[in-house]
Amino acid sequence: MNVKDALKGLLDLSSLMLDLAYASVIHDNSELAKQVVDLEASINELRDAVLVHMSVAVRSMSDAERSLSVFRAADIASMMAYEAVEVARMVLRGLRLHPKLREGLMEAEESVDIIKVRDGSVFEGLTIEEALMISGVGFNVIAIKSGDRWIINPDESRRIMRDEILVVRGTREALERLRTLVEGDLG
Amino acid sequence: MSLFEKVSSLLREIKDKSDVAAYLAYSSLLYESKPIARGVLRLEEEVDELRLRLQKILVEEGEELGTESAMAVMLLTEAMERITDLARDLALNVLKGGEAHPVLDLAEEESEEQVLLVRVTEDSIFSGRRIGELAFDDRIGVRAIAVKHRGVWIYDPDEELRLENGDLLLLSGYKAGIEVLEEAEEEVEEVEEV
Repeated sequence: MNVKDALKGLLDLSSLMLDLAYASVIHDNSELAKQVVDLEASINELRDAVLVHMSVAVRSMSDAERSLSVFRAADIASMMAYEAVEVARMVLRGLRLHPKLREGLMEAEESVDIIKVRDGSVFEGLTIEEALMISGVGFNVIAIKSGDRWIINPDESRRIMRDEILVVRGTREALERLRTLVEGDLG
Repeated sequence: MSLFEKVSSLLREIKDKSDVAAYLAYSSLLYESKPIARGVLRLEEEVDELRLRLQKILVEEGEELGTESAMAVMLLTEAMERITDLARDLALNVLKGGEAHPVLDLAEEESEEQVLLVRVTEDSIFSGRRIGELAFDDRIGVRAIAVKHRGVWIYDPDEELRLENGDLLLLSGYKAGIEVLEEAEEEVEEVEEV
């Protein structure tokens, strides 16, 4: 892994964690909150990777000065991720928002939903990419719970199976459409 | 508007702005763009103001909200505020200038660069088109730095990516090109300069 990849990975993971933490609040889902807390270890790994690579790249005083912005960016991205962890801890401590507030937050233009793939759903057996195609709306699957396992930021070629739980980010319209498709019961 | 509606709509607004601030802060660093960095500072001020409004409501009507809910709202707001502050710190760092390490050399030299944030709507000239198809590079010298597609920001988007309604496009270019674009997109609701 080079510095740019590590730094990009750090930025991506920290914004993913903010989304997941927010989803855990508006859906009052402590399991998801637990995942966010566990991701802190990955953030630390990525931040260390950036620091180690940069340290090796520095050969002179001017190099060192120019690498400051990279160090700061790595720092700030990890601190943002720690904020996500704080929010997730709040959920784990059982501090809840009033259901009416959670409802209000879900009304945002863009939100995160947690949807279970029911028996007979049209999504069953499709890859995420295929599901995107047939749904006709745009959305982003940011996590999948399969049995007891969580897959964070799954690949688009990943197949969606029955009983799995999808954490999806998208516009309100897309999420509504998705809910009918994924939860849809043909029986 | 009920108390719950008031609080959740403020919270939503803070969340939106802090999201965009964080993203723009990263972009300002990666592209060494001062205009983007200044956009972050503005968002940070807006978040501050929204937070004060929300806290005033919490103090005045918190009881009606329930202690637990009021505390949760307070913690959430603080977290988002700190995220926005971190974004501001990053942006200030960019504004202070100083050459970045070549490792971050993603962008070309930019002199009189301006940035435009455009929401793709049905009537937008961007709707349904591929990034590569926009061909603005030749005509007016604008390029897509990033796109928020299906709810997720993508840096340096692929040419094959097809824009959908609701996408948010972050364009950068020379002043002249941005002005042409602003005129073309005039009918579109949400065009804002960053």
